[in-house]
Amino acid sequence: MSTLSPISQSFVDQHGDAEFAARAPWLDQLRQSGLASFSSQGLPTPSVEEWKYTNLNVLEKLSVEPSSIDQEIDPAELAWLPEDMAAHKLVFVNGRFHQELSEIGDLPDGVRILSLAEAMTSDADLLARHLGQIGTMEDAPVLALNTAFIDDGYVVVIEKAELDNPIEVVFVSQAGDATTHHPRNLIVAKDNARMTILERHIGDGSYLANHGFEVSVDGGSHVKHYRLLEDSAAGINLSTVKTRVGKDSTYDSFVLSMGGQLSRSEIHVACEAGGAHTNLNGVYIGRDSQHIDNTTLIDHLVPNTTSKETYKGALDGKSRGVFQGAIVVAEGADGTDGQMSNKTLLLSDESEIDSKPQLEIYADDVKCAHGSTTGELEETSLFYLRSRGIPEATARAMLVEGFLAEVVEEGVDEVYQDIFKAKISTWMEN
Amino acid sequence: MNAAVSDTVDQVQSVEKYKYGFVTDIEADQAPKGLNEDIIRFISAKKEEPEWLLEWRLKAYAHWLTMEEPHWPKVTYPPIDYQDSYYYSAPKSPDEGPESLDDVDPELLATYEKLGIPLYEQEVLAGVKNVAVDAVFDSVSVATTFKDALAKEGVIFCPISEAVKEHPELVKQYLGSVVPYSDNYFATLNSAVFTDGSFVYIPKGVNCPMELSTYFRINASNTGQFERTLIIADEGSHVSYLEGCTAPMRDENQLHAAVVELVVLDDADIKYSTVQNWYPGDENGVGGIYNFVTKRAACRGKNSKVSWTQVETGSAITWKYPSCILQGDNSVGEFYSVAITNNYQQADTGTKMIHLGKNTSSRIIAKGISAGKSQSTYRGLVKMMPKAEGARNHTQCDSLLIGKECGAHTVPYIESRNKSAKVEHEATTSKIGDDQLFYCRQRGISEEEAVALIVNGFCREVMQELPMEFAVEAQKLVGISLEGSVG
Amino acid sequence: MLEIKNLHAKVGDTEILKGLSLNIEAGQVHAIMGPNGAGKSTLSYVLSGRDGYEVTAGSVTYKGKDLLTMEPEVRAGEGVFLAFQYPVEIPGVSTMNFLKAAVNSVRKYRGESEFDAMDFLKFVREQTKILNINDEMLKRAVNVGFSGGEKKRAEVLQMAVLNPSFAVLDETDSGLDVDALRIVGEGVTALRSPDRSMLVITHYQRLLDYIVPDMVHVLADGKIVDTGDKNLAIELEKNGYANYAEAAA
Repeated sequence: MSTLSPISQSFVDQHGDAEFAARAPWLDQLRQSGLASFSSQGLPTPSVEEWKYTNLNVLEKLSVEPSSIDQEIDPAELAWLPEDMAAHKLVFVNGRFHQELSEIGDLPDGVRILSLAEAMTSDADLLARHLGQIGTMEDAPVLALNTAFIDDGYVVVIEKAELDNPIEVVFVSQAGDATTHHPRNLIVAKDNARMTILERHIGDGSYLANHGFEVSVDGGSHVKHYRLLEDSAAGINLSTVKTRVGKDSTYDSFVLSMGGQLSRSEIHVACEAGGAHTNLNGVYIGRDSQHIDNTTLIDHLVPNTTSKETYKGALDGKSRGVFQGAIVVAEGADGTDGQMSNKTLLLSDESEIDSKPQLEIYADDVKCAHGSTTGELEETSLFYLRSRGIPEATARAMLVEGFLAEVVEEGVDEVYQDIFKAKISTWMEN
Repeated sequence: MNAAVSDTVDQVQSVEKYKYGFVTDIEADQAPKGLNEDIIRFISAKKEEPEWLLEWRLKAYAHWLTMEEPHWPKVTYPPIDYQDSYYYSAPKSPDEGPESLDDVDPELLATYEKLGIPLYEQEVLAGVKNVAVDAVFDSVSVATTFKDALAKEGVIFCPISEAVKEHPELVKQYLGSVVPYSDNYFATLNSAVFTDGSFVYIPKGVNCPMELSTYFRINASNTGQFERTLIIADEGSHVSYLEGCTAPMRDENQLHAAVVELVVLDDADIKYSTVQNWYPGDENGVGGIYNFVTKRAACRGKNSKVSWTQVETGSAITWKYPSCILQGDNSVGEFYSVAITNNYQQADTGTKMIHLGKNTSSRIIAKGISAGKSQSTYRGLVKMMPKAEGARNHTQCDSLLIGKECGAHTVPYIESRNKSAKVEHEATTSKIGDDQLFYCRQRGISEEEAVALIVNGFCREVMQELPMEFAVEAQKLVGISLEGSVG
Repeated sequence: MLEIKNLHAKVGDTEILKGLSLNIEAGQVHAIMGPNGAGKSTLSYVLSGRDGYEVTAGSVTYKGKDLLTMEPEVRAGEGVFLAFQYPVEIPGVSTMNFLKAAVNSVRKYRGESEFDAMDFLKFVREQTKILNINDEMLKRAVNVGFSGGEKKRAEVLQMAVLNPSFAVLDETDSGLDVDALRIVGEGVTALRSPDRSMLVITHYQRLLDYIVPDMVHVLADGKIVDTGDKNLAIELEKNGYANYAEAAA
């Protein structure tokens, strides 16, 4: 791109003035490569196929000043898990680790949980080995932007260990006038490790939270990554998750997108060795003029890897949902099994869904399928409930909740299901 | 077997595979190579066109110069040199055109005979519906059969160049009304340089008494074919139309950029079937037709209906999305497609169903078969606009892969802005099962026959939509296209 | 209890019911038999108030009230129950939650106190025990993955917990083997009572071995064309509907 849009240019300019908490030659180099990649691409426009349905020109209304922490936070507002689950808690305010609000707790051998800023000094070698290693920034300008501003985030490394309790992460965005931050998070699991991360994204006012994630799951490990996106009505939440799944390993992702004026959760999973498996599930619920985008790409690179994906949404008001899901099976990746489903209920006259479930298959011995439906509730189901005496409004709510609950039941461990179901119920009531 | 002998055997075999690959040696009247305003004026003058049409062409050309060739389809090919092609080539004839079939050059009649297309009006056999044929050879229509019989019913079936002269009011009203001259790169190019094609008008309440068909043949080398077809079904009328296409085997790539416009008024329907068998290139991917086509139907009237059926076996590259704009309330759009690619063929094809009116419905069944090193993509759009109350779509896309080096892709776009509209999309990918093949072979069926059998079964839902007269031919074509794909 | 007078109804542009009249007293079980396409299912949907079934003439009076003007859930509150021929699958909604919502809605309508979670559980368990239904079914989503027999038993359970005064059983025997038929038939028979009427719609006589009707009607071409006692059903089984089809045509 020869000339950058004003908003893209302002990010580049801001980079020049940035004062990073941690510096190291390799890190500066990584940031510079992110900046170079972003400068050459600029922010994506709808003429880019992957961004056909999501327009980032909303960012133009945002001043891109970097954020700082200046407001008091009431810890009670952050709580969202039952008390007995809160064992390892990390809180980030405007992208920076907040020591006082966090409680990392006791960790078994083989588990490291810390902030990226801390890891830059304490575990520089480890970071240098993993950071910026997964996926390319080519055709991923938003991740490139994140990379340019790498400064803090969470780091979880688990090896030959199992965590009984979930790791709880809360990202709080607090804006006075405007704020942008770019947390970068790293999850590394190897040698039969088991862990669950529960993440909550909340905020106040208008801001851009642009998250980058790198996840590596290998050697028979299993990572469960559940996210609740509850950003403020004016907030913008972008996230790019780049995951590589190795031999006999599994990456489970569940995303409940319900906040923000605009959110985009982009997840790329590469199944790189036999027995790799991924479950990508999500629920999106929107109202007013929210724009909720879920974009996924699953790369089956070698024989005998599997994936299963279900996204369901309910859209009210003038909200707009976007689902783009791609399954790519590389040449020779025989024995791939990839199943994808996307279903949306439109609850209002002005809501809109754009769905693009995509298969790209270069191997013949595969089982791949996708399905997509959009529409309103089935008349027969509604009649069945009403014939049992349930008033129409209640019947509708039950059916919508049931429709969405199915994905929660499919995608989330039983012990955590109620957390997400309760969020959906509360949304339905309002 | 020495190399020379095996070469010869290969040559002979490849001729067998594409039996339409011969060249007719006929003297042609050609415009100079290249594309510019003068060429467009030349074409327009050749056709003795009125001023408005020439202006329309020039407007399209001026617009085309500002456009960029699209590269979003999942196909790759070297850059096309638009100046290195002839835009007008017509068999030389003594007069301006044949007055009757008796005047048609015997060489041409023989060509069509060889292609299996009868350019004579057969006696009507009991129980068999007649087929009227418009034969387009390179840039001109060389013959149209049954014109008089059709005229008795008020049906107009003639080359579009003739319609421009004989029925200018109809052409002026509808040409470019479905696919405007500025629509897309190849449609705009076509608007500037189109040479011939068929024109059909079915008057109010008339059920067209026979199948209409156009047979397109590219013969001359270095020549693009840019035909334009316009079919209008007036209120309450019905018509079934079929097009077939072949070209000689040449080691150059030839461009075929056609535009088809259908207009359907209240309670009328058009059934449009295509058996596309352009030369696909050889087994090394040399030569073959670039088939970049824009086909679109406007279901303008209430209860109108368009059914597209296509069997796409030919062309080096196919890029086409026969579409329906479902404007009239209760209008219906259907798309039934079989796309077979083998060797180095590439196909990016599908449909667009744009639902505007109330209770409009559409159905899409797309079957893609990839073999050899070919790539086949289904790309389709289903769009429910805010006023499409109660609209329905059902889409089924199935891909079948034969061999380990081919690709099959599905890229659906589903956009809904009406809550009462219901869209359902399903897609699957599979291969021919070894157990299926073994079962057939154990019963004495050869492997190639078994593949043809299984693929025909896979395509059955689409094949049965073809008019009877062509279904058998299309089934055979499936077998021929897949020759050499197994073993 | 229920009085149907000269009922005409159409679906789309097609008239299905063409002057059907029927009178059911409290405590009685009536059976309606008839060939395919006679209008049996249409009658059940008209009585339960499904959209798309338009009544063009006639009346249905239920406990002295005009049934046809009521919304489906109001009819349920008033005690009308339809056991569906094809019970609808509701993914994601557990049978227990569904039953609780239904029972409490109906109780509220009837001016009775709503159950809390514990009381409701107790109440349902009593009923499942009587009907010999495995409680595990309550955890599963409504009708999802149920066998044909399980679906019909779930319908009988719903009937039991909703305590209707008038139940329509629409081809409850379809898709059941002999054992399932017996279990369902016995379940329904257990729910017979002097203040509850039933209308059993069926194509075959076999269900009536288990639910013995007080009266049997033959429905052909949208009208009742014959009425008799349970022996009429046995006769029909022997001779088929051919005579009636001619009579109706």
